Amino acid sequence: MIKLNNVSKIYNVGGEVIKALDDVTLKIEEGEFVAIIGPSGSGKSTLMNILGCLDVVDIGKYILDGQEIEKYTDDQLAKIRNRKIGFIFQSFNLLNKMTAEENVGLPLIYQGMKDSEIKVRVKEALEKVGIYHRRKHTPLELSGGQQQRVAIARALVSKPTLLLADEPTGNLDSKTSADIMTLFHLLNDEGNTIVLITHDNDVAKQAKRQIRIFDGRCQEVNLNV
Amino acid sequence: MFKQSIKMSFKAISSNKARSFLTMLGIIIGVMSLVVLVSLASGATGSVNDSMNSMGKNVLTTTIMDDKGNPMVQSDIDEILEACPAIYDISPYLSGIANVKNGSQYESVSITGVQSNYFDVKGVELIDGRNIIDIDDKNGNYIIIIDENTANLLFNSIDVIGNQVYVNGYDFTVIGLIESASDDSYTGIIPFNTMTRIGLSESSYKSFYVDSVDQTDFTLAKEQLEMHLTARFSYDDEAFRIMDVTVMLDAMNEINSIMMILLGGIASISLVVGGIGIMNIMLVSVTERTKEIGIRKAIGAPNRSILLQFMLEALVISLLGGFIGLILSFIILQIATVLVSTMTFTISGSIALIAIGFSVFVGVVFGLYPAYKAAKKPTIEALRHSV
Repeated sequence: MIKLNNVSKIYNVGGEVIKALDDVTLKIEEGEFVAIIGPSGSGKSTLMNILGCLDVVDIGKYILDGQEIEKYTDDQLAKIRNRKIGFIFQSFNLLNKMTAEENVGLPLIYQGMKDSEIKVRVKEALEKVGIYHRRKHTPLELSGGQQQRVAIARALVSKPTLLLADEPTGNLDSKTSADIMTLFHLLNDEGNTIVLITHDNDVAKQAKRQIRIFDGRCQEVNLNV
Repeated sequence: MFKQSIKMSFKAISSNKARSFLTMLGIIIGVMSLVVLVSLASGATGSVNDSMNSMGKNVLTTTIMDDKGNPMVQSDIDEILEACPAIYDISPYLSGIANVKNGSQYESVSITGVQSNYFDVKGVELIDGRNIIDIDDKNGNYIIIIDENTANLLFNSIDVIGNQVYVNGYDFTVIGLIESASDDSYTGIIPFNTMTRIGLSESSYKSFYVDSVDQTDFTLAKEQLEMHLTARFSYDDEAFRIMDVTVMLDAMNEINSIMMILLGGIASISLVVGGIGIMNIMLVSVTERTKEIGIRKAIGAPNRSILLQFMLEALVISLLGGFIGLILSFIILQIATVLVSTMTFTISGSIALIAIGFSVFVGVVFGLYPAYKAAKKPTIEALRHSV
């Protein structure tokens, strides 16, 4: 379902050539729960940008849902992100001037969906993450854990192929982190494909499969043994 | 999608009220100066036209400047009437200023000496009393028609028919009353021959009111009269002068419309400055909201919807400013109308449309660059931007 074939991403920073991704080959099946672990500077963010269609590969091929993500235009990539990727960020990245339900409905607005339909889908998503009762509040009136639930609802609302979580528990205390991880397990059990990017081994251990990235190269590991 | 974008832009504007208002102020002042200045100019034009119209119906005012030692007589007038079919009638007149007195009340009054056809040619209608008739003129009767101002001044009343007044010491009977042309005009009308009899003017056919058959167009009458008089005065077209009020009015209106365009142009500059204010604040806003742009693009906003969002914001600011400016202009013009009691200032539909249209134009033009900048922000960098 997700295939990276000999993917490289090269940056030119101040005359120095940096291989952020170096000949990465990776395959993630539908319904998997994969953690990608690595320290900062390992190429983790680059990998996430490629997987999330925020960026395109320099060398190799990225196939998402049978579709080859090549040199698409900005708008074409936006459309793919909108329908196939659900982003969950470390800092939640909610729009502070909008209420929870407005935030969750935003991806659907960009799909041009009708208001009535959006309302149904938003309710469904908010209920799934258990935050429907707080739907009229803005992010600043919500706790970190609640904000992350809203962000997860936003990721779920367009029924994406892939949930892409970048350090989703990085800004949360351990109790709340545990709650969010439980939610991820639940979502995975329901059939959602989840790729979780983290530097934290304890978080990574909770995924069913772990991939370590270092200096732009990927390696399958098993942290649970 | 569009509806949502409008909602979002209103939200963004209202979430930063003070800044939005200050930005709007540029447009408000621009629209206000445009509408108020142009309306004042057109109000003045309207007043001039009104007072021109109050002078009565149009006639050709003809004056002989140099009679070449061969002055006009009644037979000349008959000849003109015969030779110029476009001319309906000619009324010779004399003018002078006389002291008109009743008891201790007196006033310098401009006196016109006229023949009986004057009232028909000039379209003068009496409020009270009777016209001067042929017999009055023939006998040089001491009778006078005065206007309301003079009546009020001398008699404290407009019920003046049959009263006596002294005109330069001669005893006259008031036989008629006419409307005053303006607040400070004092006029009297007496028979043509009486004018000479009391020595107010020499008896001569030098000034005429000429009426055309076609009541709306005096061009043909003027042409024929010109041709005839040129021949009459040894082919010297400087010997006489024919004035057509509508031609003067047209010239004046042209000057006024040039003035209106000039004032409008100057005011438009302030509107453009207001637009630059919008652009400035939109650029700041785009920078401040880099993170928001990144988030929107990450979850699938195409560039055009980001563009639309920021464009609409600029447009809403300028349109709102335009409407507020229009409302304020209306209030200012109402006040001006009260202060300058002789004139009425109103906003014409076309200037209102131009003002609103111009604010839309300013919003679009000056919103475009910031919106384009917002839309073109690279998603990853925008997303990484700290709030």
